[in-house]
Amino acid sequence: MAPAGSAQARGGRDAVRSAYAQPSTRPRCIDDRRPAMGGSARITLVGGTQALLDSCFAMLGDLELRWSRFLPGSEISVLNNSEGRPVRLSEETMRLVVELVAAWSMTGGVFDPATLPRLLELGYRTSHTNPALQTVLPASARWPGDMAGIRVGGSTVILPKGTTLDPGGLGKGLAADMIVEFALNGGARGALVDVGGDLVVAGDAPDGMAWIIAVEDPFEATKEPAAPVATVRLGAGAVATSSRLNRRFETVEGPVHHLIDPSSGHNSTTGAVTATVIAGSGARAEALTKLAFNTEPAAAFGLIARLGGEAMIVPGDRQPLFSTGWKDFQ
Amino acid sequence: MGRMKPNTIPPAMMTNRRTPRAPRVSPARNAKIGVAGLSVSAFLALVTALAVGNQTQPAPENLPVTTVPAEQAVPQPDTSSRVVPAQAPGVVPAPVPAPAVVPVPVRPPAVTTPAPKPAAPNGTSRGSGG
Repeated sequence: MAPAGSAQARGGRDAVRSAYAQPSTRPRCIDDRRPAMGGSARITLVGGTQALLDSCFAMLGDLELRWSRFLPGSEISVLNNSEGRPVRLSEETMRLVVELVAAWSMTGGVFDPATLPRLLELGYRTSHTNPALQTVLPASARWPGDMAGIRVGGSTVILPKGTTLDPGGLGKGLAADMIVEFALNGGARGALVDVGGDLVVAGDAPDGMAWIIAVEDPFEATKEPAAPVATVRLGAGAVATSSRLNRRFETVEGPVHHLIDPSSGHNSTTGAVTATVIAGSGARAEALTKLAFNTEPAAAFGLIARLGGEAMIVPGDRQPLFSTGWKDFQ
Repeated sequence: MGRMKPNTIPPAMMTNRRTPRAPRVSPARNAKIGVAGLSVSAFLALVTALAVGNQTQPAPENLPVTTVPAEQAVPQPDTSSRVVPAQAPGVVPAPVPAPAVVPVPVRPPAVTTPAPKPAAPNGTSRGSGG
């Protein structure tokens, strides 16, 4: 044990004092918003450096190059055109495929990442941000796909001939998960990553208390700043919202949106305008929003709670419906 | 010299056979026992009496039966009719003080501090289009 007056003892006392002094010397908070994944992404770092923030955006760009269905050279496009042949994938894309299959299995097929041929059939073929980019699938592509027939081994995936995968919103949520992990491993004390409206948070919040996440009111979205329909407080976790008001396109059958009910191949008829889910990860939250969209509210709330989430559904009458545990986050 | 037949005892010796006597106790040994407070004869009489006592155990069915009461009822003091005085007789309780008069404000006090501003959200979740 060091003598009371020694330099070692003084150093120990200083360390204790500095630990208690943290609230008055809160770490610097930096953030930025940049275009990404067909929309925009915002990253907030608590205690991180500008170089780390740039690396986070670079990682997001790299994931987009691997996962975009509009880019012919992406790993997902190569996989979708493999027609039953094994494809060697990067570690990141392997994780994406595993998450897609797990979400399909977990929701009993209500979340279906194999509806891409149906979306193309309805007319959602062209990128909204770059009309020069189009999704190209082989002639064998069909819906429904054979999700149960997907084989994963080591770094290789085999999709049954005709089956294709669309990362969609789950890809955005998973990208947010991975970038938050990357930021914390890179030295940030806290991080918020928002990819196209799906948010993942972990570590210290800017105020040292909780991450405060607003949920946009879909009927007031044009207001600036956007009016919230709800606000939640998180220590760590994710908030994802799916909306039928976005990604709309015209078909011969009339206007439709991108959320396809796998039981019918058409838009859901449950009446939900938006569905927001709080869950432990962005990938999980995104998958569960499809459950909230394609199932009647009472049943959806029960299913989502059993899978570790809480949900809010905003129907056409603008009166939001909440699952029982939602209040725990307010 | 003639040889004796084995296992034969002359009749004269048989008729003259003497009854074995009780072991003789030397006066010195008797004196030692006497120190303990008993003479040998008294000690032997006592042992004999104890042995006889042990041989006359009555059969279990002849033993006197001890009756054990199944459950002894313990009477409980009857307190139902007992009146417990709240206080010792003769002590007069102190009067309960009247509630303090709370003045009713003529008008509500002025608010001198603004209501806390709600914390700004760190982010907003919106329809992702995924």
